[in-house]
Amino acid sequence: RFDSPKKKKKLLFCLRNIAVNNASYCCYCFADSRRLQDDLTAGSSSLRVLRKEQQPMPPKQKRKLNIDLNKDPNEDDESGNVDLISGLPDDVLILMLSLVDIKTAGRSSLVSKRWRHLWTNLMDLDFDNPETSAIANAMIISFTCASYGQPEMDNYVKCVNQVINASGAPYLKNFSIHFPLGIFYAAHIENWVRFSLSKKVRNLEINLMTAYSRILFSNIITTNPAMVVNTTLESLLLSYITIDVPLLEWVLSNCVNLQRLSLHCCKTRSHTPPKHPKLVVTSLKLKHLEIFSCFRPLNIQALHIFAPNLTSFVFFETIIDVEYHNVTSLVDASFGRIHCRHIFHNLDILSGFSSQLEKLSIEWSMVRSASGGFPTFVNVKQLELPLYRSLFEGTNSAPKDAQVNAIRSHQHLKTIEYVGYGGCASASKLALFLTWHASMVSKFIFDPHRPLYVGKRTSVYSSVDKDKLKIARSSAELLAKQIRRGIDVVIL
Amino acid sequence: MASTSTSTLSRKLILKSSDGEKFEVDENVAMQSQTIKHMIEDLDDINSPIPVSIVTGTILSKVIEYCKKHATEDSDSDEQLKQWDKEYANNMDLNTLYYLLLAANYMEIKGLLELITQCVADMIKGKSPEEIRAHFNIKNDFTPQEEANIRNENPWAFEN
Repeated sequence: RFDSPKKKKKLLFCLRNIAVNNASYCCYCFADSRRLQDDLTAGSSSLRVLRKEQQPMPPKQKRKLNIDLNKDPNEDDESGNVDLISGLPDDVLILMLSLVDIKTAGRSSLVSKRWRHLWTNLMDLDFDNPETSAIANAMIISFTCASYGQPEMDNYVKCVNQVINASGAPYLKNFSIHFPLGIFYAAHIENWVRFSLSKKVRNLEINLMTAYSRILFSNIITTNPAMVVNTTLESLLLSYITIDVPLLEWVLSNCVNLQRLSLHCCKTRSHTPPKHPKLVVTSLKLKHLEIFSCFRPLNIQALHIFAPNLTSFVFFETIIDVEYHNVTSLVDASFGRIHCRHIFHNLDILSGFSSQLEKLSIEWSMVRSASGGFPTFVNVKQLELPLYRSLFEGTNSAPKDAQVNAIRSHQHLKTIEYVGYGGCASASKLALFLTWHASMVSKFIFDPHRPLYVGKRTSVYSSVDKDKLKIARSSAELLAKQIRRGIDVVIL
Repeated sequence: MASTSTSTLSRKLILKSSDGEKFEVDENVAMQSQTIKHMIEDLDDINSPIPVSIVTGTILSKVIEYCKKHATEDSDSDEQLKQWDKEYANNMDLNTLYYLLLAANYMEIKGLLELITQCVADMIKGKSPEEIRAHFNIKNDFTPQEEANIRNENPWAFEN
């Protein structure tokens, strides 16, 4: 069993631009996640919206305009209200249904005959919506208890099966499964993957969420004719999947338009996997690569990257040997686990691209022994330093002059953000300390939502507990009163 | 004829609504509508009014308001623009929202369509079929037997 980074209580401490001149942003995160690019911007619901909005429109279907614009709206209804929404074109209504959770979309079939089959055209089948569905709530609970009751698993599987049986969409944009399902459900999962591939899915996410899930992915993919040369798949997330190295390389070479590959906690079937000297990632299209805790379980010794279009790279592994052969587009890098310590002591590994980096995240607790000071990355605009709680408690002691001077020297630090603020005393103290000494700070953002999940594109927050949020908000309000004037305090 | 490079900057277009109202707008404002963009390409004389046949003057003025705001880049931060969008959508009543949706769909203004669709989707979110019907004045045209059949077909959607 390997330890998953998401299980650890951890603080993220992020300072934008310590080492460079144009620092304008500072961010503290008290969270289990370091996926800040998601978490910094907004709460989960608006993020979800953003994600949906970025998706292209459903294909144009035959326009159906039932509304007679010249009709007097009061004509056929004594209350003066007419049903206008049902007269909207199919594609508009389908777009609308793709913006609600899948359960509400399914329920809309009971509204009227006009609505009866609309939802079956949905091209986003996202079985991961924390907003309203009971299924999703169950999913969130699953993070804290690794095992999950069979009735809930059965219900989830039944739901997915019924939805895909009813689906009449010509193709799928998204298909995501996020639920802890064991080997018992392998046949169903195989079926879902086949279904989504037959619908030419663009974004496929299979996250089985449990460390003991032993579902073998090789058979599902390699025997699938849609995967021989796949031109439609753009994004693939595999989490807690049983996989092997040849399959990974196979996916990389056969999915010719793959732009995003995320591998989280994947394992092999055998306890003593054969040793693989290296994994070679060669891709012209790949833009995002995320690898968490896969190399040791898969027994891979090294990673070689040839990916001229790669812009972001997230690597939380224990192996140290990574060769960057062609990463001319890389601007956003995150490193963690032992690999992180290694690169910090051997900065020449990054020398090929360190000057092109704009965003860098380093798991600081891994490198705290670094005594040579913080290196300079000339073009970094945002720097994130995830902290463990133990390290953070050090700030309880009185700040030293050196620290005060360090903060004062950040003339460009304009915004500080706390992510996952829960009202903890040392965090509050640090907030006051920072706002007092950092003269240019004009904005302080408190986000009480606690990001839950490492390395997932859609950000899921663990705090469904409204009371906790309320308490965090009220302590942020109290703190806001103590923060010096001239600082705009925003509480999310 | 003036050279195209100088004239594109200041070119004005006249949009004509279904009820005959005329609006003079900058070309870059109108060009946010893919439909109008395509119409202009086929048009010989850009000085003649461009008919926006299914959109009334009241709605067209609102559409133009949105396009104007989004035509000028860099004047506002993304955050401010989002806030503006939110207020813009919140100020509309249901009827206006429907007609805006139709207009945005017909005129192919992606941003506006998504904004309003999201706004209406938020009204549907988490509602039961009965609540959706009540909110949008939709008439239930199912027999009780048909209703029961639908529930049986998709039990997952109706379980709590």
